[in-house]
Amino acid sequence: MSTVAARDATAPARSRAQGRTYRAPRSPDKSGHRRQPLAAWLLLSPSLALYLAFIGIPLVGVIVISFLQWDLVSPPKWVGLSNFKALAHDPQVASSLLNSFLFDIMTTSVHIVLGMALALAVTSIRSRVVRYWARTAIVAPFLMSAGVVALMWSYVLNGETGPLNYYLHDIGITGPNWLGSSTWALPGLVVIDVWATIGFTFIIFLVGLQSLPADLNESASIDGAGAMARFRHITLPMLSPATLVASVTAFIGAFEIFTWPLIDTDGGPGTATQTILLYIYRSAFQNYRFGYSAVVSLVNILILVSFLVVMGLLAKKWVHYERI
Amino acid sequence: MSATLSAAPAVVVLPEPPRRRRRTGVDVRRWILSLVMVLVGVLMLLPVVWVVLQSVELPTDQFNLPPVWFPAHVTLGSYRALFDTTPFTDNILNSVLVTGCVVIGAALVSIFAAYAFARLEFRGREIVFTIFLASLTLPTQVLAVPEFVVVKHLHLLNTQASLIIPALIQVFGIFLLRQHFRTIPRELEDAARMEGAGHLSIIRYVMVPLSWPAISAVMIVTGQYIWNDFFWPNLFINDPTRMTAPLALYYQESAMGGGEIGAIFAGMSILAVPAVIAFILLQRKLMEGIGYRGVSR
Repeated sequence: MSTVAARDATAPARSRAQGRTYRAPRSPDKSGHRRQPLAAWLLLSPSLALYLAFIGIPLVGVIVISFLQWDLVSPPKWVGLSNFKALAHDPQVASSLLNSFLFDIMTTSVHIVLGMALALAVTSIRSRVVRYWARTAIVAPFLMSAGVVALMWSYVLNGETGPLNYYLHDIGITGPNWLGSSTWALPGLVVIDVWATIGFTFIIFLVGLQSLPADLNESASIDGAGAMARFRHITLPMLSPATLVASVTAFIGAFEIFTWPLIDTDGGPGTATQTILLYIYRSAFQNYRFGYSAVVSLVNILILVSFLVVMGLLAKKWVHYERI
Repeated sequence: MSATLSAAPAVVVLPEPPRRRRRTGVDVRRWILSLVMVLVGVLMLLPVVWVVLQSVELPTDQFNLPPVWFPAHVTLGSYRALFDTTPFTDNILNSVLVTGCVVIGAALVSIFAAYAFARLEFRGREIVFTIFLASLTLPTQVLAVPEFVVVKHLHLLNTQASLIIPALIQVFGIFLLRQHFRTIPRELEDAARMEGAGHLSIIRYVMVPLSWPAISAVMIVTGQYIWNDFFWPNLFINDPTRMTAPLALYYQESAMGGGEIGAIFAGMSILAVPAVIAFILLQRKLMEGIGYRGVSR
């Protein structure tokens, strides 16, 4: 159940194999009856076919399409590298990437700080009723459709008729015209995103906290460690696997943000909230430049893959996996 | 404690007051924290409450500022408008159909694949498994363009099948179930095999019953994802009667242009409230499933 245990789920299998060495050599002669390639491939065939059709072919396809000029109606035309050349002269790619990055950095940092704080707060509450209430209310929005969330917030955030600005005004803050202002539209989308998906990060931290041994905190407290010191030297390192999972998930999820900008701002005002996935979508399905949007998709994939590689390397430095 | 006090007051009474004061300090802090968390919960749910209220208020009370939190009159007119003027019944049925098919189909596909990966020896097993796992790192949306081309060439555009068939492969489910199947003792299968059971019987009578908690977690998380999905329906479906419910609301809202906006709020309430109720009913399972899903990334 715990993050650490689940991440290391192969460990029990490994130790069992070591414990009973008579199982370990799974050579054809000893367990020949399990070597049934035909049965195996038959059982795998549905998932293989689906994988091939909807993941494998699209992965190769995105590369092939990037060399084509294609509107999906007339036959495709091979145009070599001209789609890639067009990329260099397109200011919208850079601005969309910048929007995605800005949105991503804002929302991921809020997710980590708030998600951890909420999980710590909920765990330290004694009353079961309050704990249940807070947990339910924090996670419930995560279970709503992105489409519904986006629609709902377009009304809540409305500069003139929305209830949010009304109550902000009551406490002395003049709220901006959130989604209609080029400065505040992106932060407005961050508000929506945090409200809708904080539940996920919260659960990751909650699970991480469950694996945190209480006696460690207690003995540190007896040794005279203050609350801050205990947080810095015990809770934070012990939560680092959860932090890694939460930040990678939040970062990748936020980079592909689509529904909020599509429904709430339509990428605007101007192109202030046009994210990279929205630009890919528009190039393909509104401008019918499938070849060009495949090139932008490749850029997008390249960024995500390099992010994962960097995170993987960094993780070795600051993530503690020891179990107590 | 009082016995100790009376027996040796000089010794015990001295450290007592600071200790007690500290404890009440901690209690007060805990109490404030509880209060804050109650308020956080209220704030999180307030937008949903506001939407539900707009959906049942008379048009004269709707969208008033300050919002009418305690309407004197309640009406279902917005709900009637929703079902009378839009094909929302079809949309809900579409959502149910798509979600049901994907939940059952994806579970079967995942169980078969997970069993093969966990229990059968064949050449290329590790390679295929690694290729499967690798796809978990990228969100599928980045492949929207080629995926659209594939779906178009299979002549699935604008059909419910375009939402069902591509979703039948849930790699995280395969991964999770494989991990689970590997923890089941082989002796159980060996016994079944002695009785003459084949792979399908072993799956049916050994693997599935023993892994039911993991399987149901996979089903719930998949169902939640498919029921709520907006991206793929928005890409593949443009016939209003074939849309799933969340997409239909968006479509109707942009088509309606502010006419009977109460109907949209009725639709949002219909879709939002079950989410909250489902969470309350399935809380433990969902938390497990979401936790697994995060971990499997």
